[in-house]
Amino acid sequence: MKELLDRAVQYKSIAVVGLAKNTGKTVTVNCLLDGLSNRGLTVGLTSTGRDGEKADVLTDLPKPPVVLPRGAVVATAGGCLGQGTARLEILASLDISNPLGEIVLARVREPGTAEISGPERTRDVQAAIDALLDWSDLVLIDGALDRIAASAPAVTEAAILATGAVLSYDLERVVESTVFSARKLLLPASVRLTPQGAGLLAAGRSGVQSRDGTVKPLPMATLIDGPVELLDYLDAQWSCLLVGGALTNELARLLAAAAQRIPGLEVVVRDGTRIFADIRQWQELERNGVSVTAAAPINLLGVSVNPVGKHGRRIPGAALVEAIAKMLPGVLVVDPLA
Amino acid sequence: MTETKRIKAYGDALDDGAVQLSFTLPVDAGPLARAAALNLAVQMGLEHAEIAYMTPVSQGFSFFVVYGRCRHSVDLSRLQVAEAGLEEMDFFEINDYIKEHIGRKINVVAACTGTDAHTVGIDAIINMKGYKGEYGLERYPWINAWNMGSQVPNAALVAEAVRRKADAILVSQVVTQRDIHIPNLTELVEMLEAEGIRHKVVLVAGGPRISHQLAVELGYDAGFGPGTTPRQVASFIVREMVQRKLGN
Amino acid sequence: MNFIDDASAERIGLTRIRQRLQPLSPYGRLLKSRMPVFLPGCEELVRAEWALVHGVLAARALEPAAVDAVEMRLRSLKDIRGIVRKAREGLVLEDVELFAVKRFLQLTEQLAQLLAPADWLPRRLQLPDLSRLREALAAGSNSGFYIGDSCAANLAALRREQRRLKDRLAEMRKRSRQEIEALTGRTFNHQGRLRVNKLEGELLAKVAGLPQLVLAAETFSEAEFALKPSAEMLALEEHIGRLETDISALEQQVRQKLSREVAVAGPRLLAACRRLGRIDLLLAKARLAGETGWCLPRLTGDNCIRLAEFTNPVIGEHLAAQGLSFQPLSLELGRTPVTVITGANMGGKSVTLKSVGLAVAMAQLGLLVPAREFEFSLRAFIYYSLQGEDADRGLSTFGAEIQALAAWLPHKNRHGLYLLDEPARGTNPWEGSALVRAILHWLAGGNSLTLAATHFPGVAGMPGVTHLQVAGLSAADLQTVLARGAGGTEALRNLMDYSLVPGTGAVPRDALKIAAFLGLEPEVLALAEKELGRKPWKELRE
Repeated sequence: MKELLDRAVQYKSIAVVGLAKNTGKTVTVNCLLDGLSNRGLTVGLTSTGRDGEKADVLTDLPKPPVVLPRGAVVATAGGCLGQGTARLEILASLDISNPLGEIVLARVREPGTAEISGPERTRDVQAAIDALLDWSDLVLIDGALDRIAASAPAVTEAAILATGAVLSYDLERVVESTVFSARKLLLPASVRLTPQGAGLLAAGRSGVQSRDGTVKPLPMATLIDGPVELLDYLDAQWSCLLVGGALTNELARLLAAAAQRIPGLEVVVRDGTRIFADIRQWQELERNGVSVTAAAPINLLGVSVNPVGKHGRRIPGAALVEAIAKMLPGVLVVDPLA
Repeated sequence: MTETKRIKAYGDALDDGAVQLSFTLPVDAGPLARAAALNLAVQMGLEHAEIAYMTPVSQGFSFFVVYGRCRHSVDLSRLQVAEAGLEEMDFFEINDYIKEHIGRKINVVAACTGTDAHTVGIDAIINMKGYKGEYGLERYPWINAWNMGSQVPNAALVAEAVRRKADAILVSQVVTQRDIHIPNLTELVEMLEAEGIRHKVVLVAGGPRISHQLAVELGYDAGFGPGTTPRQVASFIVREMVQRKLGN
Repeated sequence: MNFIDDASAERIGLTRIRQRLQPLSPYGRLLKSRMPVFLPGCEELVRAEWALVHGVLAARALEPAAVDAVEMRLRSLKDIRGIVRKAREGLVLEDVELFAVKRFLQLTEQLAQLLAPADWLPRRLQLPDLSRLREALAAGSNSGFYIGDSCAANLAALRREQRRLKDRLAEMRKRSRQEIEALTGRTFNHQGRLRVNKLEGELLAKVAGLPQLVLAAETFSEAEFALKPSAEMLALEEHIGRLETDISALEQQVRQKLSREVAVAGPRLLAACRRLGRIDLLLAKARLAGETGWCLPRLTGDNCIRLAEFTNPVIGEHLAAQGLSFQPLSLELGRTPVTVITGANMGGKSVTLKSVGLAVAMAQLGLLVPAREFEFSLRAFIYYSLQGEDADRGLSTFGAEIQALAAWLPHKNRHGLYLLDEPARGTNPWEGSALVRAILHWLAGGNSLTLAATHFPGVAGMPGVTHLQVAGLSAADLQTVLARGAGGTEALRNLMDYSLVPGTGAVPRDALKIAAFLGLEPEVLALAEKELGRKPWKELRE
């Protein structure tokens, strides 16, 4: 945990993103809040979606509440303010709402527990982070169910992936899912990508880049369903595909099948949060010699592991941490409650 | 908001807490089973519990009907209920509203996603015939609606929404065994974010086990359950569009 | 009876103008939805309104930054009327609501300061004094909201006491944990649990034997222990709990007190909201005038409408998008009750009718009018004849028009404005023209003004009717154009002179020329000419 904190202090915004509910995100967040405050930092906090409520809406497992230290600043919906034991001073109102009300910025006067329900849309999360940084040194985003979008580099500077036994009782399966997700987030940066291509991707548009670096935008509105016409634009010369949106199973299938006549096909996505292909399809791409890279790699600070699964049953924590760490060399894997 | 309003179950007098329960225990019917049933009832908070009926159901199992007074109460003023805004307009009002505040026809794309094959719900909202005597969205002069049917992969729905320049996307999920609908519904939200269009659309989920609270938790703008009428959905969509300034 | 029905409003472009009028605050938007029309009898009021809008325009010209600053704050205003209502019903407001009121007061104070030097703002619109409420909400936080220590007598002391006890409890727990950590060589985790692997038999036995620990959870491989709270710790916890109840109760009392203050200030708060709405709407009207161009309308005792160089803002907007501009319109109605316009097709007759209607409607809504001059007397209503768009409702063009006319004609003595765009064109020309002559004759007997556009013969020449015609295409222009070959509607528009000139009582006959210009089959045209007994148009060309 200490190493995780050492890494964390270098950034201004960190998303803690869970592979599923009850992966121990809140515990990780609490540890970070505590650890960072102890190092003298004023921490900002918000969440995408609703969190900190007493029992999970879906799985009904008791959830640990978010514990706020004195001086921390939060962005949460007005409707949540009466809950919890912390005392909050309302500083300002953001022009964002979620179904629980308008989102306000508040400072913790008396430490205690609180319910944090922040903006839902990624764009609004960005606005909330900017507002929080006016009042704090570092902002944490507690991501709700599978909201990987919050860890996109455009939104936050770094990410921590939370995984756990809730994914499966089978240690192997947990490791496999976790490693796949981490690898997606850890996509290497593209070497071939030109600034022009990067610009196109940043605007969310798709295009093709030729070997000599020329970039041509594609006329299709989207590539998400793997439109066959896409193949007309790829060949040995134009062998770098820039995908401005999502890389889905459908698109991956199309590319894997066509990889034969496009040697050295490279697919560049904006960042690892845009990959929606599953493990099989991914492996298919790799088998056919297609390389997938990112315009902006995500800074994966570490992986936190919660060995407690559904109905309180556990996988041995140390074994889980070790197994994952072995598959992800160079990535910090911790059990915050070890 | 701060005045307590506690309610208890109602039998034949206010606050008597009278309830009737039924359950099965994995024990052969008999005195032991009876005692177990009473014990369970007490643990559940029932006072003056009585076994009204016990009967064996196959080897090793017995079925009970129990009466008792539940001593627990609920404070209504402390409950938080999230509901999609219920200010409904009627067919004409909605069309006028679109004309006045948006100024062009709006585009709505709908589908039953994943492996779900049940289109009854989405048909009720979209198709001309509509539901409960109310026209579906296809019938609205100021709405262009496309019903993609069932078993539509998320990627196909997003592609259609992009091509049709959808202002709103409606997703229906009927099958919810083992929470199979959750990852599918979440994936759609994530795909829309990945394509950079989540903020440009009004995203609505519906189904017999979809509640507004659940939908919002998953990242949707609203959730609608059984009995929803087309104009409830349309009212929400148009108001949301205007509020978020999506019409332009 | 309305001033104008929805269909007429849509046709003359009033709906679009209303859309372009955009207040910045919820109060302004509310007022806009209830915007009054100034009817005959309200001459003083409408003059006052125009003067106010004019005042804002002058202020903006002099000090644009000051007006910008006001607008910025208006944009930040949120609707607190629901909160005020809640307080007046005796309910206790929540922190976010009290914050919202405090923020409203801040903005209102800033606005009052910004508007103090504004000489265009009448006294009745000046914002009321809300300093008492502002002071009440001040304690605890500078610009935010918090129930601070000073808000209630014991609050500071109770909070201090609770903090002290909490610190003591934390200290006790820390000491206990440190003791155990020293004894066992293991550390507690973030949740205050000590985990021991079951394979470490000796350690496990030792830990399990410690009286200060209790087993909290276990799996087949691990056991988790938590601190068993001592009696003193439990007492402390209980005391802290009681203090919490007391503190919460006190805080709630503070909220109650503040809510009552809000209730007491209720009428003033609502008055402020109303006035903010008025100011917002005035600024919005001024902005619109700035966009469209403006003049100060004048009222006269004569029953007339005199328009000089009116630029239709709605049609102008449409033309500008295509790179064209609107030819300013001048005309006078009122010499006779009825005026008839004739002119070539696409000659701008409809535009004239719509423009007159729009100018009057804008003025009577208290807006300034985009013209060089505008002089008129207030109208009780404006009616623009139906053009048969409602095929949906199962009526023909003619049927729908007659139905509407039947409703509106009886009001001819109420000082209204009738704009009839090619009336009765949906039926046979013999009866149609007779009907139109009859309608106009009848209307001429009332005190309303009527402007009608028609192609029917025998209408423009009626006695007692003023005839205007669209100058259109001069013969020379037409020759040049035809020589060049068929063009499109755009070319036609470029050549058209849309100004209105006195007519001769006869209807021009340019239809075939225009058809030729637009490229209609020459054989068809020749046949038509023959029907009319005229020389074939082709010969005109040579």
